Parts: sequence; structure tokens; C-alpha cells
Amino acid sequence: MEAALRVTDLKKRFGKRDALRGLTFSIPKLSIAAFVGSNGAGKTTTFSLVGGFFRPQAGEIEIDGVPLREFRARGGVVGVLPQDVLFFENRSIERHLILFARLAGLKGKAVAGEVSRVLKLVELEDRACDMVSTLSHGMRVRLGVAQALVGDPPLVLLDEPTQGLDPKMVMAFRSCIDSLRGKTTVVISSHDLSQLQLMCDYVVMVDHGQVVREGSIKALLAQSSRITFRLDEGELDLGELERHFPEFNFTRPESRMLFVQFNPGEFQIPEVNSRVLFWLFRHKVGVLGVESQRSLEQSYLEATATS
Amino acid sequence: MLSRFLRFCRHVVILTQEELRDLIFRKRAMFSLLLYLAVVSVVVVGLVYVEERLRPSLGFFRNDAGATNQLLDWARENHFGELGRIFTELGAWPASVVISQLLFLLWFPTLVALVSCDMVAIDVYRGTLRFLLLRTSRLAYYFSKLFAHFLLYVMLYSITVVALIIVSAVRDPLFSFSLYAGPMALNALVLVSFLLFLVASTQFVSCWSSKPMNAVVRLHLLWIAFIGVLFIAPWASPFWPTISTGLVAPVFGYEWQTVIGMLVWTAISCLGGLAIFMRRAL
Repeated sequence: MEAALRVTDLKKRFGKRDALRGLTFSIPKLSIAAFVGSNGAGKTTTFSLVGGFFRPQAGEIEIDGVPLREFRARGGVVGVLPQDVLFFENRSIERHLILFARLAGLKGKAVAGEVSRVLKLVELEDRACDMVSTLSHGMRVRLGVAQALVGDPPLVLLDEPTQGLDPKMVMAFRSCIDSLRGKTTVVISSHDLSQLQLMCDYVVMVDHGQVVREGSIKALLAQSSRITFRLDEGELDLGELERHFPEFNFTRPESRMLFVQFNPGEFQIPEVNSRVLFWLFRHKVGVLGVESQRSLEQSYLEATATS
Repeated sequence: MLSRFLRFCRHVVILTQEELRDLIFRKRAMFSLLLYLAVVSVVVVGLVYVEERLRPSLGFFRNDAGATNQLLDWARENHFGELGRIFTELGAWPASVVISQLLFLLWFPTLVALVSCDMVAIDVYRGTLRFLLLRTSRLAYYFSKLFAHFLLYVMLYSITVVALIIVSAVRDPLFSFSLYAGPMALNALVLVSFLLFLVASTQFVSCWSSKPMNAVVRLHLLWIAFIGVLFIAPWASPFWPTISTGLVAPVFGYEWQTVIGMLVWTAISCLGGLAIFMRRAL
């Protein structure tokens, strides 16, 4: 796997607290990756280290196989949307983007072209001349995303990009990210796991400054160990079900839902599905739906529960 | 290596332009600059208007035929020969040039403290520095701030000097360009080096502070410390008489001592500021 971002044994300490404790992961080139973790897990610290806001105590960061320091010295840029979106209040959107485009090495008409391209991506073309002080939170986030994309950086890190956005804007953001698919590597940190599941094809889960799970989202979700049955009204004798299938673990979070937990090392989803379904039909329990794929959220909760 | 250096230069130029634009159009800066120009205009015009009255008074120090030289004689008799020489030299200059130089030495530190003390601290405080440093190096950012603020004060000083010459040409019946040009060039030489030191030391303090208000307080403490050091180890202060005499009297080689001294202190301030800035977390 060719990595756009490779982090090896990264350590960062703030006072007596270890923010990162030997963080190691790789993000495949041109992927849209999710960077997931609870509050204080080390997501923002990792982004800040990759962005060069501060230095790690130990560890290596490589971008496209080049150490970060060398990458930056060669003029390489990592597009970063920091968690706190802060701009020069007395400057217009356009002026911000022109500055970033010029710093990215663009000149003359290329500057105007690049500014118009990123403004279109984040749907801010009609607000180009507005001062930052007049923008809402959502628009500031969009400007933050636009500045991260100026100059087509090979790696873009977005920290909580959907925070505070209305549903319509979240959809627009998703289509913006979709348009980047296959063109650049994007890493998104967010607590909205359902959105990440829709947008991303790779995931890194961190907890207490360490990676607890990492891999392709498709593969991760396929390793399911639970089937959810949505039931119709009717009697279900859970005790009898448990006696019949001692190898499975059954729970009913509510009357019309049944979770079947199994060991994925011993059983495959189709086998468990057909056996339980057959039993339910035989006992005249109506089944309205079956969901065998687990969610990113479920995977994350499992990963962090064991860490 | 060359391409890196060229990129560094390009970034410095771009950021300097942006900073100057912000400096000139920022409310606080604009207010300070307008205030400065208003005060200076009034004083400069006033000085030129009283030039004729001041001239005989300053001539008091001169040893010209017909002029009173009691003070000079007294200074020589009391082993202040050097002081006497300086007075004699300055006495030959237009009074408005001598006095305006003294006023610049008071005005500029105040103006720099007012406008520039938060030059780095404000970007750290607002968080805008993060965005800039994603695109450029800390070194380019640091020097762009230094150049932008230095250029601003040099521009202001130049405007004042040009105004002084124009008003003098119109008002002073004894005006001749040669009479004004020499003293003004010497004054400009030392004042520009002083401005460079002022901006560099202010930037050092600004790098050391994360809040604009801290920067203002620390800048004043630094200047007080420089004055305090004069009583303990005078050579360790930029206000050491060997260096600072030329600020008031840029004559007899004092001007070069001042320029070199100010450049050394500028370098010390720059290195100190850089050492802090390159290591600081954002």
C-alpha cells in the first residue's frame, strides 16, 4: 500500500499528560479516510503535529514517503482545517484565498482561477467579497475547507468539518468530498460516524493516544459479529431461543428488536441468519427485516471497549 | 537550495505586503498614524515658524565671531571639551532639524509600542498564525513582520522629513538645501538604525507573549530594564552613551558608533525573538 500519510510511533506530552503514546498508522494514497476517537483521544493533537503547529517528543511523520520536515522544506503543503476556525476578521473571503494561493506559488491569472475553483467547491462564489466578520459559523467552516484545498495539496486534514453545519450543508460538504475522491488524500476527523461511513473508504480509530483499529471501512464492516432482527408484534420466548442456540448470545434492547451476537471465527453471517430465521418462522414470530452489516459506530464502540 | 531561498524571499514579500496593508488600514493603527502625522505636522510647522527665533539661541553654543560663547568656555574649563565640540557642531545646524530629531526619539518608541507591540502576539492570540504557517515557514513570517513594521516607520519618518524640508523652504528666509541636507542625512542615518532596533526589540517581546496586553507590559519592562542596566553594566544596554550619543548628536563619528551599536542590538533582538518563535507551540 502506498501511503499518503505515514505516522510511526508518534509521542506527544503536554505537561504530565501523554496525548499520544506511540501512535502508528498509515493512510493510503488518494483515499478518503476517517480519523475517529473520543474527546481527548489525540485526534486534534495528531492533526496539529502533521500541520506543524508543534513538534512531537518522538516519532516520525512522512507524507508521500518524505519526512514532514523535508516535505515542508521542499515547499510541500498540507491542507489543514483546524478545529477552531479563526480567520482575519477584517479581510474578505477572496483576500484570504488570494493570499493562500500566492503562498502556494501561483501567480497572475492562476491565482484568480484557483480562488474561483475552491469557492465553487464550497459554494461560496456569491460571498467572495464579504468580510469574514459577517460570516456565520457554517460559512467560516466552508471557508476553512476552501483554504485547505487551495493549491491542490496532496494531503488534506479536516478537523470536525461538519460541526455546526445544517443538514443541507452537510450534504453539500459530502458532495464536495466526493468530488475530491481519487484526486487527493483527505483525512476527516469527526464524531458523526454515520456521515463518515457514507463518505470514507478507510478508517483509523484512536483511543488514549494509540490506534485501536485501522483498515478499509468495507473490510471492517464485513467482519460483523452481530445480526439485528426487526420483529413484528408477537410472542418470543427468549429463554427457549437461548436454550436452542447456546452458541449464540441474544439480547432484546426493545420488544421489536433482537440482537444475535456470535463469534465470527466460528460462524459466518449466512449460517447464523438462516438458522435463527428458520427458528423464528417455526415459532410464528414475524420478521420485518434483518440487518447483518455492522455500523462504523458499532465497530468503534467494540474497538474502544477492549482498549 | 536556490529555489528554497527564492521561495522564502517571495513569501517574505507577499506577507510584508499583506501586513503593511493591514497596518495602514487597521483602525487602531490608522488612528495612531493619523495622530502621529497630526502632532508631527503641527510641531514641525511650528518649529520652522520659530526657526528665526531659535537660531540665535542655538548660536549661543557656537564659537562664531560675535556670538556668545560663555557656555562653551565654561564647558571646556570644566573638562567637558567633547560636549563643547558637540554643542558647537549642532549649533551650526538649523534649529528645527536638531529639535525635531529629539522629538523623534521620544515619538517613535511611543508609536512603536502603540502600533507594533502585538505584531506576533495578536496572530498567536487570534489563532490566525496557524493558517499562515500551514503555507509558509516561521522564518518567512518572522522577517515579513519585521520588514513590514520597519518599512511603515521609515515611510512615516520620510514623510515627516520631506514635510520639514518643504515647510522650511517656504518659510525660512535663510533656507538652502545644502544647509539642511547634511544634518538631515546624518539624523536619518541614526534614526533609521534606531527604528530597526525598536522594531526588532518590540518583535522579540511580541514573540514572547501570547496576549497583546502582555506584550505592551513586557515591552515597557524591557525598556526600563535597559535603562536600569545602565547603572550596573552600561555596555550591556543599547542606551550605553557610546552608542546613544549619536542619536542626539550624529557628529564626529558618533553616528557610526550608533549605527553599528543599533545593528548589533537589532541582531541580538532578532536572534532572541527567533529562538523563542521557532520553538513556540501555536
